[in-house]
Amino acid sequence: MARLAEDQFGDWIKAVVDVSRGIMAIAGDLHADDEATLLADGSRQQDLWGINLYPLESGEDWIEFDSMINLRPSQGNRSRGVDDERTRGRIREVVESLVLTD
Amino acid sequence: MTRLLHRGAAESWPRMELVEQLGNVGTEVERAIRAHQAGRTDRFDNALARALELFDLTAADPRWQGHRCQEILRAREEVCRLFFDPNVPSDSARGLSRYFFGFAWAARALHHRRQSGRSEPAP
Repeated sequence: MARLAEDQFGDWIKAVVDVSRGIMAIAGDLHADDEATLLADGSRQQDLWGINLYPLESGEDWIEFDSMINLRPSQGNRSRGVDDERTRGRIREVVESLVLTD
Repeated sequence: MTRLLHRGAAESWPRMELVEQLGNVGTEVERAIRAHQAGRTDRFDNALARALELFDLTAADPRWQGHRCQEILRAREEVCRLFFDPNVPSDSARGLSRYFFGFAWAARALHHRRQSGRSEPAP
């Protein structure tokens, strides 16, 4: 993943997590690319959240909640982040279940 | 609409990949952020006008219609919000800088791959 990140944005890589299905798509040029991949695979818009992964970081710093696709006032999320703490926790669970970290 | 700010952009834009276009947009956004923070109204006005013009060229590119165009327009809205919405989150400028720096990096990586004859990222 670090190699993939280096080839794309330097030290980070984009990902979109489906908190309902427990899956994620990574490495789109835009979060919208990963979002479209998951929507085409049957995901629901309201379950999708954009994040950035920093493979060389550890602890909480390796996941950053910041994406244009997260701007969903109709769902109560008014920033590029993920305003709901429980949703952030669920995103962390999904990522940690899918990615092996040190 | 008459486009005067970037005389060559309309011609070169269709030849650029998305990350190259957004890398160029980001250069102007970054200049606008710096000018805004420094209180340089003249520089800010010019940089923002250029950024918005390049945003519009990118959004109008028929290759990106659909989900990519949606994110491009969201990004444009976020940049406008940064400068004109009094309730913008305090870390918005930092986040947008990072967002656009990613495209600049990706554009340079693409350039190096082209130079070395490697068109796709390494596996």
